[in-house]
Amino acid sequence: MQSLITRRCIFQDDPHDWATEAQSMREVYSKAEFCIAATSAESGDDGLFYNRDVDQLTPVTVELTHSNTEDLYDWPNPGTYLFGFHSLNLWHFVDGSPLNRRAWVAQERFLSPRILHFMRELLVWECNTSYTHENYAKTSVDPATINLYIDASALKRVINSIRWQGPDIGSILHSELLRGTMFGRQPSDNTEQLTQNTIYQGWGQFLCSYSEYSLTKESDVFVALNGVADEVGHMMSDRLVAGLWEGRFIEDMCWRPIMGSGRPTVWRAPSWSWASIKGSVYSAAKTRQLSWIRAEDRCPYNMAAVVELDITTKPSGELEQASVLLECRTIPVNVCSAFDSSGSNAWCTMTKGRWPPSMAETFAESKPCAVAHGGFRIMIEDYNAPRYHNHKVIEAQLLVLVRRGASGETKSLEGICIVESTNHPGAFERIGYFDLHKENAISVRAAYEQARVQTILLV
Amino acid sequence: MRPDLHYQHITANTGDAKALSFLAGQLEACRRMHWKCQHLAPYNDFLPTRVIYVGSAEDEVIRLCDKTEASTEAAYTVLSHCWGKQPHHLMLTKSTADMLRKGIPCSRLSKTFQDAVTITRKFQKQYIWIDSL
Repeated sequence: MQSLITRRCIFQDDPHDWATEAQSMREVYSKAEFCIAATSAESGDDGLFYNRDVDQLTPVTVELTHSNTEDLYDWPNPGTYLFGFHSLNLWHFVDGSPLNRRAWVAQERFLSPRILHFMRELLVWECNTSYTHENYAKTSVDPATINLYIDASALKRVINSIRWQGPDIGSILHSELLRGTMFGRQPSDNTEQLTQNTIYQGWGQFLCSYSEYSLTKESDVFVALNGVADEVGHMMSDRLVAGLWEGRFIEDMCWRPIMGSGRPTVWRAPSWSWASIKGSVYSAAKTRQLSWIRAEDRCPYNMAAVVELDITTKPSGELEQASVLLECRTIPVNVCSAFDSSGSNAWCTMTKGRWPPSMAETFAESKPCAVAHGGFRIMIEDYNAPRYHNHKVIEAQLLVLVRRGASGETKSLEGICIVESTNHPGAFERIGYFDLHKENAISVRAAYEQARVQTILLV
Repeated sequence: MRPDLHYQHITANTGDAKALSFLAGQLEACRRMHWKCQHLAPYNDFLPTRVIYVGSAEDEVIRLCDKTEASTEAAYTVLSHCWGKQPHHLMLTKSTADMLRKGIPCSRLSKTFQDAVTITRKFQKQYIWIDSL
């Protein structure tokens, strides 16, 4: 049966319709009275309504007393509390549901102003003012008070509060500022910068979720993202190119895989884009939220520059080809493909001369051993690639992208590990990511200063 | 009683009248009292190019209709759903378009679609937009 009018088919078979269709998708979801979300349904046979265990779902009242008077950090005060199935992390259950783990659904949820979540256990209401469920119908959670970065809807909340420009935008920016002052922010950021950076961090949270959502068709990774990317791009006055923000390109290249992953079966993005791997990524914007990064170090300094971006996109939003010409300095290293149990780490050294293969096996067993041999950790994207077989030691380059640290000092360095491309002679491709601190950062910085500036093509 | 110790009792099925009245209450509060929501998503008379007319009665057939045949100022709902591994529900295709325009009994749709039509009717909306219909 050939279906002609489903959105997916329009994208696949009739790309010329795409622009109008995408525009209308946005309109259809954002202007509906409400969105009926079949949140717990795995397929069309499940329906919206479920029988449930009322006793199990009924909240219980708990009396909390402390048996000693010692100060218990982070413990609630003695008193009476109510505990229910969904009382603590409503968003955790909604975000983890079968529906909300689908990539295409991310933009439907992002665009819908009112959502009726038909979950197996409880009905949940979500709008821009209230996020609540049946048990706690009367004590609704104001979405603006939910931790800004914890869930998949954070981006939507940030964007909508900014679009609204109501009283809560003040409180969102205030809490941002507060987070900043807690870690020593200099109050130099103006509201405009604060707003843009807050959206960027919301995006960072969204991307971490989005990258692990499932796609029936792997090549739809950007197509299913278009509705969100357009909206966020509009708010940040920026443009998403191959998954990275053009205006923050160097920093945005500093994503890393969360778990050892692999490549999609068919090429869908250049090696420098998070979409070139399959599986969840930790976005560069998310790095800004790490608690140990002091506020004044949150915005990093670029250590490389974009000369030219060359991107060809199909009308659907799929990429045809993409490369970037970078002005940068690279440092030759030997990478020892000795992955530890987490599957994605390798060790690299700037020391001249190869590490013998026997050492690689030792490294796999022992981190201190690798460190003692001048090794530092890099995270490899595709550890199944043939180049790593049998603990091979390979020649690669470190491409330093950003530095953190005020007034020229080096608190940390981030960048990517690149090798000469096999498919594109003369060009390079990314194989991994590094994040260096303290001595390692300082020694790589020194090597960086010695290296000559060159222009390289990354594919 | 402290408001934070207050909770609502729930019923045995999420489709029960009491359960659905929770959603209806939220929708009404949103439409009447949420200033922010009014600003971000005001009332509008937009209708997608193609929508499904669901009518109001349980036994009514549903039919595909074009924007031009629909009454203006008609609100519509949308469905967000998983297709599942092998969707076998009725879809809009060249061969089904005529039949869908004439009207089909709701029972020919997948369970999720049927339930979504039920919700749309219960909330007194006349149209629903589903991506494959």
